[in-house]
Amino acid sequence: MIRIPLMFVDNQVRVNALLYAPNYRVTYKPISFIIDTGSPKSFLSEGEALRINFPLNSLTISEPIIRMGGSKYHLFTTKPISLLFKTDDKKLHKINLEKFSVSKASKKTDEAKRESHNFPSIIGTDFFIINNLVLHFNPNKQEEMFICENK
Amino acid sequence: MQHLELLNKFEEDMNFFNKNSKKLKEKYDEKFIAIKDNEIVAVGTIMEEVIKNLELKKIDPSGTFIQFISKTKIIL
Repeated sequence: MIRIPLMFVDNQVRVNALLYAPNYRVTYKPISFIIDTGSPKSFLSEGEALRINFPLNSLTISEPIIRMGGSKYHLFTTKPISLLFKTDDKKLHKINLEKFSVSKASKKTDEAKRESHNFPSIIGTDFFIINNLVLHFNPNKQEEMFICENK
Repeated sequence: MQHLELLNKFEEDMNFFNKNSKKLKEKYDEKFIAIKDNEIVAVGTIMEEVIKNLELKKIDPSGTFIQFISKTKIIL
C-alpha cells in the first residue's frame, strides 16, 4: 500500500509535492502544501504560483469568490496537472488531476497582494475525495501521520 | 537533478525552518525568507523582493523554499 508521510512543521501538517504542469511550462517544481480538512478546496497559492513562475494570467476561468482567513480570493481553474509525492519507501507517487485551482487576491491593493502571497497552498477535503485517499493524523506519533489509498 | 533529490532538498530546507522557527521569528518577523542548503539566502518584505534577491544571486526561486515569517499565529 502506498503511504505518503506527512510532516508537522510549525504546528501545521504539511506535505511536499512536485508540481508537473506541462500545459503551463511548469515542470517538477516543489510545493509545500498545508493539509486543511476545514477547507473544501485544494489550491496553489498566489505566492507559490509566483515563486514557480506559474502563468497566473493565462488562467481565465474563475470560480466564485471565496473567503479565507478574513480575505477574499478568486480561484482560477487549471488544465490537467500532476502532483508527485514522496512515499515512505522513498519513491515518487504520481497523482494526475483533471484540474486544480490557483488562488489570487480579489482586491488589487498592495496589502491584499501581500496577504495573498503569504497565504499557503492548501490540500483540502476535495483532494481526498477525488483521489480516494485516507488521512491518518496522530500528531503525537510521526509514524501515524500519513496519506494512504482507501482500500 | 533527479526529481526525488529535488524534493528531498526542499524538504531539508523546510526542516531547517522548522528546527529554527523560534529564532527565525525573532529575527525576521513579518518578512519572507528564502532557505537553500540550510542557509537563509534571501529576505524581503514582499515575495517579489525575495524572488528578485534570489535571481541576483543566480539562485532559482522555483526550487527554493520560501516562507513568510510571522510571530502572529496564522489560523486558516
